[in-house]
Amino acid sequence: MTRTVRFDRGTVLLEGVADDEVPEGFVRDVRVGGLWRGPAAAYHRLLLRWHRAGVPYADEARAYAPLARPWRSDRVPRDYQRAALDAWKAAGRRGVVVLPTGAGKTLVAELCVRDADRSTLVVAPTLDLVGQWYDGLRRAFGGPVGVVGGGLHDVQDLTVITYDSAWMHMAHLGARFGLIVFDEVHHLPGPSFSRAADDALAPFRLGLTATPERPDGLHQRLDTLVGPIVYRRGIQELAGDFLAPYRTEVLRVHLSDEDRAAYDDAVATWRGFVDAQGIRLGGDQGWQRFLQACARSAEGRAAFAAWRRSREIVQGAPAKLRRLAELLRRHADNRVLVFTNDNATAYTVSRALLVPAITHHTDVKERRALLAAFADGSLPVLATSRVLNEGVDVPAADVAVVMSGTATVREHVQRLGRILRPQEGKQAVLYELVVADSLDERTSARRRDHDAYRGSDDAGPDEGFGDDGFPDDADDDG
Amino acid sequence: MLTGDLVRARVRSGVLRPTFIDPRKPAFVRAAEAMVGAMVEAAAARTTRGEVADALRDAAGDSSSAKVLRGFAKLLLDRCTFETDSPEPPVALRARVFAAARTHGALALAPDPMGRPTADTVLAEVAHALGTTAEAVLDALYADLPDAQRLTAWRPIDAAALPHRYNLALVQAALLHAEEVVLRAHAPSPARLRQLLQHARFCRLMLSARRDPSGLVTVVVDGPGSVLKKSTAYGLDLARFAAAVPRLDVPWTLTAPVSWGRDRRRVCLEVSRDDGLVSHLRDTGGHVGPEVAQLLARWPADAPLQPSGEVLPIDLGGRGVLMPDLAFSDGARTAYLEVAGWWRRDWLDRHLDGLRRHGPGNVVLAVSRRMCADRDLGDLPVEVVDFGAVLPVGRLREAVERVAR
Repeated sequence: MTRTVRFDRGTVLLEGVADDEVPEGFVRDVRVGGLWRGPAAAYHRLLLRWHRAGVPYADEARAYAPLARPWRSDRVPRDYQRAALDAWKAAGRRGVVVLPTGAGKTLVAELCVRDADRSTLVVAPTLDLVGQWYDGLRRAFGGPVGVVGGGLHDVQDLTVITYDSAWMHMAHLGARFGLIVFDEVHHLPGPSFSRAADDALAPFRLGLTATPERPDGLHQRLDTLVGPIVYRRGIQELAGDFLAPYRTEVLRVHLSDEDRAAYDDAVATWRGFVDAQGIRLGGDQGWQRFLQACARSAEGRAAFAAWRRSREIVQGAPAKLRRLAELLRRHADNRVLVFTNDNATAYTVSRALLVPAITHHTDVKERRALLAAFADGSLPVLATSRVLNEGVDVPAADVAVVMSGTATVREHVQRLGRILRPQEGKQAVLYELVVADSLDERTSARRRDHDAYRGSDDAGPDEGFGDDGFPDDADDDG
Repeated sequence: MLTGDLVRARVRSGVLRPTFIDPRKPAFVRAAEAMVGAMVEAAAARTTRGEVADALRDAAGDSSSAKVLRGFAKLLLDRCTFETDSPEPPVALRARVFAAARTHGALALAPDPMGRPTADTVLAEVAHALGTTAEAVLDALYADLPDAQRLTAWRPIDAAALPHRYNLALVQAALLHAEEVVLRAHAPSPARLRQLLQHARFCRLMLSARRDPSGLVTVVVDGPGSVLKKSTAYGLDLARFAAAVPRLDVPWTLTAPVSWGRDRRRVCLEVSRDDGLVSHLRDTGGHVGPEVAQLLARWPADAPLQPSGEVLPIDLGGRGVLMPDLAFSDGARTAYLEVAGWWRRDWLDRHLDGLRRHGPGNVVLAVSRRMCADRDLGDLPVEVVDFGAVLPVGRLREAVERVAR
């Protein structure tokens, strides 16, 4: 019997192989009459081995073909983008490229797609990014580009998919692509999302990110899921030359007497509960124990309501809104992104100052219209919760106002990245609004614990920061 | 589905038991009636999602079983369709309002001594142009946000069925973190096994079964990749599969290794027929087909090979599964009969190919001439017996004698 490999729902089945030539990672599956079964991702090693040994085999697994679409872009790759491509090729067309936000990771991906010349799937974390890849790939390669996610399911030889859809559908789609590009690849190593890599045949894989490290240490799995880091440049290496120069400012605001009283009252309520229960909020389990205690009694539920109230007062404080209105007047000629921690605050800003808001509730079409209006200056202010943290292209933005956020360093670096796309004569500014004498101050200090912020307030990019070792993220809200 | 915060379950000595409710307990019956009543009213009034959630909370009342009733509410909300309903399409209205605001430059947050324009100034302008009020414009501005959307349709459920749905949802919520499902059933009929098998395949899962001499059938349900790595990757599929299990009409137990709680401790979920679970899936095909029933009635008692329903699914090398309708045995030799329902010639050829390459070699396939989708049957191979209205006893008897071993 001829050696045969075929794809079966995210795995591969082997027939007609001698026991001593079965690669590592395969097991006999008694459920299918004792055929050898292995992960779909093992396909490329297997075929490489058969190919090198010169043995005959039938490949019933592969359902992808050469892409055969010319690259029609007129963008000229920069030296580091070419170097990234070369490093990826040298590593067998598998690996992760780490570049800061704004450094043109998309172009690197296009170069790799052209080079690999195989049906390609691009996996992206949000619908915004899916829309952006869709536009970019249409522009660069022409022809139909498929989209899976957000209610769409159209698969083409060049397709963009969300991580959510990718892990759910890869068991079906896994044989149809020879190259998979994982955008914001730090999402991939989670227990669910990693299926998107395990269940796919794709011999060629590219990961893109500015921040590969994960606080849970799972980034080490990227080696097997995608490949090793093959190329890396930090924010400081490229700022000035390739990214806009920037400065950051922390602006302290004061609560009104009324809000201050309500805040102190709310904090006293939940603090009292926390102390009475003997819970230490710091540490790994503190937050979880607080939530559990809150669920158990009417008193606990009141404490939780008080905690939320205190957070709402700080995050959407009228004092912050007033300061924001001032900043918008000061920067009437700039493009301003306003970042909030939650949708409610984004909509509060939108209703109070009649500027558009983008949250994950905004549909793709309206997002595109709003981003286009932002780019051409007809609506130069955009409020957003977390959806624009990652990757979405807003090159014109030169001012960011952080109304509120979590304490994660990653989020802050990404938000800073939004305003660092290079443009002639651009000087980017990031303001952070912080309520004086509140928990807000502590959160702010934690998120700025990154070398891009050291010497904050007037730091330029050229102060000779050290290497780009990223500190671990710390989640504030558990 | 119930979200993690709504699940009620206990772990004792490594065994995970959902905290089932008694569906007949008056407090739950009353709450279910009040909540389903609230849904009916909400559907008639096309209230907003936020209002539906509030109405369900009010209908549930202040109960010591608040978590159960929040679970009821979640299951009811899952059955709803919400849509935007606003006199002005919100997207167009927003474009208009933001553009109008832009003509004034950056707005002030509140009226100030300089008389700088505020949001109210702009809203009044737009309202004037639309012939409405500033408040109405502000209300309609984000009428498409989830909480502001209106209930346009829902899949009704009987109040009496809701507590049963809740109990099953507790099991499903646990199975989201399961690696596999092991089902033990006492002498299930081939039709019920086929039903389970079909549902497993519908859920993209694999089912393998074995029978011990006492008639106990052990069914293991997991995913294709489960042999490579035990993981909870198929949890969602297993949860969907579990909805079919209570249709079994013989005693059964279901166990599943589950990674449970924040520390993902390995525990074993255990439920059984005694828990009184009720499937919400429509029950089709649990009965024995009329042809098979007639054949059993007419099968000669003196034939050496006698029919029985003691059959299990047989895998065909991963390319398909054979689920016989009957086994024929004389104690030493066995043959299987599979009766094809609606079929096509290309299916038959593929199926026979699988049978020849991976089948056990003692299978007779009966195909109905009436149920063939193709005009021309062509020549049928020897192991296939065609029939009109009834299965031909004589020809089948010869066929099973020929293949039995």
